[in-house]
Amino acid sequence: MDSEGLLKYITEEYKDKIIDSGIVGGVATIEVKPGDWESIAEYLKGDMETRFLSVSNYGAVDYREKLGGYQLVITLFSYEFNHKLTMKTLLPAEGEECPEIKTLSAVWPVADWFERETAELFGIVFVGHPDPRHLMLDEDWDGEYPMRRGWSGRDFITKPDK
Amino acid sequence: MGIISKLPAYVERVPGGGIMTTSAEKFLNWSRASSIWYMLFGLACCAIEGLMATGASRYDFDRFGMIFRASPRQADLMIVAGTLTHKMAKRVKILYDQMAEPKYVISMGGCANRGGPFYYDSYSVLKGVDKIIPVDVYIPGCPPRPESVLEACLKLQDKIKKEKLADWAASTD
Repeated sequence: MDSEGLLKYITEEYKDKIIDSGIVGGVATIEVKPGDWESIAEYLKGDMETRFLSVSNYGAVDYREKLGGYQLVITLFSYEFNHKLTMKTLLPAEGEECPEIKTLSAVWPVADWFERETAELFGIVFVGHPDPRHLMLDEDWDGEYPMRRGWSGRDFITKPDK
Repeated sequence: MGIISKLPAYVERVPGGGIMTTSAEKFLNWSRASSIWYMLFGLACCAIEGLMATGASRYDFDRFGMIFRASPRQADLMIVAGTLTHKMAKRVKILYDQMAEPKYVISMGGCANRGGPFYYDSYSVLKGVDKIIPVDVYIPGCPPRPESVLEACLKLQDKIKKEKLADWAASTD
């Protein structure tokens, strides 16, 4: 299936779960509710028409000022059909609070490390994660999330404007 | 050749020969400076230039008596080659503490000296290895040429040769 066909199939099949869809940069993109995050991932992996067995990319964007939360973005890939899908969800959060979402590491084991990195950089809590330690930051980081907008700590030096 | 070619002039004219008078300080410093064993330990791209290219046959660290050791217990010199992150900084401190006295540190490249290109807007990089361990020689460059690594080692040899035995004894107390 090409991107249009894939998007048409997914939006018809799971239309009660999808709140927004479109084609962004040639890749089919859907947005779901945070509550459906794990269930739709399971469906998309098990569906014989989509067969998304692999995660290419998984991360978050700090949209607290623009949209009022963190956006989780996952890019799925199917070896069998060679097609891609971007799936997004918005986790509402204000100030320094840490939003929670169910982990995807039970669906795709590769999501484990992506989630550990996202958790330590953005402060998103992945409920049910099998190994919620720091991945790349050292053990001292606690309550500090460096990829959040406006973060400044440690010996962080902001580049002066020219 | 250096000292080897001048050696016959220093040898005492006694029956049998083979005796040379010198000060203990000079002899100890000379032998220490001529066998600086460095720790095989690299952090980033500088390790390719500083430890592998310089250690291999073309630039040949071995002619200064420098051989890599895979253990900090056997090493005299630590070449901090590359970007030092906060996470690695703790490990580097542990490795430095495990080295036996007397020990020396060469900070190699812009990243190890002062954070390099990661000086601004970086949450993970330590801005200079001298914040955690004392540094003897700094090498600028990104990455430095093997020649400048050799130059740094010659500078370190000069420093070792100037050390006073009395200071050395005091530091081990």
